[in-house]
Amino acid sequence: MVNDRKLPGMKNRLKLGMALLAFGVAFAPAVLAQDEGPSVTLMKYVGKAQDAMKVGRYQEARDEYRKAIGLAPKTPEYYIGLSDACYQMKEFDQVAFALQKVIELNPAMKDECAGEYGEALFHLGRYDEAVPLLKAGLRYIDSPAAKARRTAIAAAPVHVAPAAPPESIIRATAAPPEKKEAIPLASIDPASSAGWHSIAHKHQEVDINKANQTLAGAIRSEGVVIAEYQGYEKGDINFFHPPKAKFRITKILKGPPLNKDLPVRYEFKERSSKEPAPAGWKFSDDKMPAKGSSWIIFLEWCAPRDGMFDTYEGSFGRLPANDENLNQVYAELEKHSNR
Amino acid sequence: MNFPARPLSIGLALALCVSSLSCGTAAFAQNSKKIEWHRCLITIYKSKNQVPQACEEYAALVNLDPKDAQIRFEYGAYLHKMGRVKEAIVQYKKAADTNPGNPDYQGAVGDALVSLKDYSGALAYYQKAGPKFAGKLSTTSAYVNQLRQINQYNADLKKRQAEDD
Repeated sequence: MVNDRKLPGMKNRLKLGMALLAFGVAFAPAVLAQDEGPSVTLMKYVGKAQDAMKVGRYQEARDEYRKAIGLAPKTPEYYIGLSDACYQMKEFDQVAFALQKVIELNPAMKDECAGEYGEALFHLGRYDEAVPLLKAGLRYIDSPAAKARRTAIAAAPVHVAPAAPPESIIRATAAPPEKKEAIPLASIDPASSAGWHSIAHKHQEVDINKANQTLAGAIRSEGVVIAEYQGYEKGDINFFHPPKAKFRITKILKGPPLNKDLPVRYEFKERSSKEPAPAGWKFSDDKMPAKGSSWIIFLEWCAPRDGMFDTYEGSFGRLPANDENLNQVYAELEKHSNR
Repeated sequence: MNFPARPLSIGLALALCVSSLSCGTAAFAQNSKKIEWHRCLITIYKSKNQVPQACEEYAALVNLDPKDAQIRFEYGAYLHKMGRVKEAIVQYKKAADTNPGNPDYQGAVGDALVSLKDYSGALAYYQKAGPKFAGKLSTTSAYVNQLRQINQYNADLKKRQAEDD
């Protein structure tokens, strides 16, 4: 019922987002001076995000806005774009995060974002926080300030997506293409007596799934954070139906900025493992970490699935944040950074 | 320098049309946003059992679009559930008047009247509600007949007692 009649509202949001983005793009040089990001790449991301939004490819738009935010994390307009894209996909935790960031970066927009922020918090079940924001949003929407803003947006020229930079510039700024080695041909003749079976057998010797389970593999996750365990949501929990564990991010080592409250799918096994549940396995509180303990979490994707973030390869993607592990992770991050 | 008048006036008219259309769309979008937020607040207040606040939000929602029968129906249903039947009937009746073809609205008035023991009043609304409320119509009309017979019997009894005396 609550979701009825959303579309017209969305169109207006889109228009507002586009206008703000046009503004953002117009002042991009100033922004870039502030964030010191590579301008061509940033423009490319923003242009792609806008194009994706126009045709309803919201996931792509979200990803592009995230990339833009990675380069210019102090530009509220990109967070507005991110919130619009996530709103369309009903990823309200991301909407809340993005709008929180907008307000942090530009407190003057607090009233303007209040309604949407409250709505996102409502969908996240954070009712007590949502009420004053929704009321503020309702007060603002009828205020002269809001009317003046709407008039300004309506009067703003229709935004034209920034022209893609010349191919030569893209090529100059792009990373050098990786040298791809030719795929060697099978040394065993399939027509021979050994046939394909032998080739298949050879391949079975290497467990492809396990090959990824190294720290170097985990570092390639979209996000790496240090987070404090706070508890879990009780419910129907078993070995194959993990609980939602609540972590609080204390530091982001890699990836886009995330909401500090991090719901994690707390898997009890490594994802590639095909083994059944250990005999007599029964869920109890001792299967979960100690409250307040610190963990390094490798987030496979920085987008939640069913309201929870997946860790890299299940239980493999959680490491206690002790000195030894931290040193290893920092060393790997250093190795993989472009600096 | 002379400008052709007709193309200019057509252009002006077109521009006016576009601007008024965009203004209309913006107003509509703004309204639907308000509806959305009021609905969020209603859900919150309902979950916390804060009846006056929820009613306040419903009233605000009704004021936004007094011709929206569905909102009035929902408001009525909430009032009915909270035991404020007379206020519920007012909202149900307005919803039924706005959209007489909706059997749910007509039936809701009937149900509310039944809970006030106004059975004959309820019959009229159940009839308007049509086949969806046929069961309730037959039960209520049977009950009304029974009541009538009981009343008749009591009246006759009193009359006979008076004659005997």
